[in-house]
Amino acid sequence: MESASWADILAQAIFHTLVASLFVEALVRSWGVREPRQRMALRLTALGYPLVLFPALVALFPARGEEGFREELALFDARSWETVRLLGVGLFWWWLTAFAAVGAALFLMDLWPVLRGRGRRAPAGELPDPASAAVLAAELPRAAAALGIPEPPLVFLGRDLPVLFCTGVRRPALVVSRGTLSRLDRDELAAALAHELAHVAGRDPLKSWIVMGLRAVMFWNPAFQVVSRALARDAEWLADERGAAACGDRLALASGLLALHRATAGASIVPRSLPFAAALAEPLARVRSHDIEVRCRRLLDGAPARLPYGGARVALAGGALAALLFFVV
Amino acid sequence: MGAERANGAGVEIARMLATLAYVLAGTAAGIAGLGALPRVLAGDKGPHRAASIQEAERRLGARILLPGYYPERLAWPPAEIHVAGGRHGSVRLAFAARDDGGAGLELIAAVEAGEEIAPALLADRTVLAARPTVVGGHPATLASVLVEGAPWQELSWTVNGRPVVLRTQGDLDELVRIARSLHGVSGR
Repeated sequence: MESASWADILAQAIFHTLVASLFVEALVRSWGVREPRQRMALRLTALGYPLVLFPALVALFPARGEEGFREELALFDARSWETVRLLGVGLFWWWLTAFAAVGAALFLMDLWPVLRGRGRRAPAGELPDPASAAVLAAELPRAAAALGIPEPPLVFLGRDLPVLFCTGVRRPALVVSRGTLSRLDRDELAAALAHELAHVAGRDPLKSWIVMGLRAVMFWNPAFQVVSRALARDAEWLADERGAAACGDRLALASGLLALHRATAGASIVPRSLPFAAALAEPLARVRSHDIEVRCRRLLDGAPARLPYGGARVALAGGALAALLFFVV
Repeated sequence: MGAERANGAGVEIARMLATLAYVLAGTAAGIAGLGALPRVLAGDKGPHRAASIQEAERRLGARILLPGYYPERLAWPPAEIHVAGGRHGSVRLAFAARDDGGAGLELIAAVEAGEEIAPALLADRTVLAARPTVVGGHPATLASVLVEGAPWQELSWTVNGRPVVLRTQGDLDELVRIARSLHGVSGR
């Protein structure tokens, strides 16, 4: 019966994370949370649930696994699905296998581009031509100063394909190509650089690798994979907001985003070392177009307001989730 | 100005809590619905644990057959009570010895005449040997069985049309006396 108890815990972790993510999404929409930091804090509650609260629940309350609790107190008992049989096998096992397979597929979809790019050499930096060097020398220090960070190292690519991203965990660097400089006007370039520097200021390359590591641990958990992706989009949104605030021109950032997106749609992207950037760049072109559209709309809408009692909302969401899921076995 | 601000904060807090309450209630209702669905799809086959004889009778909607003779060595109330088969289904009472090392006893019965005992209550068992016998003038079968690997003596017959299975890991005479007492016949 040892394997059965592990299956129970696995099923609970999957179902709890699913409920936690749906619950948090419902709260984000019902409360009207529009500020990216507050959205991320709430979504981190769902993401942290299977990592922190669920193990604590299992370790501190072993009686939840006993028959009496399942019979008398539990709101939901995953094992009860074993009584409904399909092809001679209980639905409990069908659900467990299907959810774990979906989780693994979602993880592999994002891991595959990272693994594929692993063998390739990182793009070598070149000396910028005088015109590009002059533009960068004028815009980069200004953007860095506006964000209150030191100017990061620059990797210049002398190619016509538009490339602009930050990379590197310990010492993030900015990668920019001649194609980017030629496609953006000065205001758009300043805004786009501020967006990338906002990623550097937030140490997003490091955070994205940490989340990727946690996703590897939770590869069998589909809701965890989906919430991780939502968090990556929130990080982009946050960088948009910080970048727009730093450059002071939301329209220029939206315009720059569109210009770069149009230029790269359908083109082969330079391999990147960031898991989420790589994951979102190539296989999900349609989703990416939609994401760009949403980001542009948000930039046109103006800066989102913070809701009051942000910390209390996160605490209430976490407490309510723990209380509710105590009765789900 | 201050009162207006306090009022605004109060409204915001109330709105926040009300929203949390309805999202929580909606989520709980959805989870409970999912939890109840297997019973709807597969029928309520159980078994389900009951906390007391009274609760089991309430769930079954019928009185449970109890022996008139109850040995001193067994503890009361039953250590475990399970019901299965929905209303007018079956019950299993597991009695434990007062001292932990003593032999246990199980009484499994349908509560309606002519009904079968719910299969969910009859744990996987292997019949090693069986012979016909009589309990209070009624035909019965006495069998040696293995239940989850453990040897039991098992008596099965009907009481007023209700199938009954009585198992013990102890004395056979005691088993027969308990069985006879279910017909209102003195155990002695």
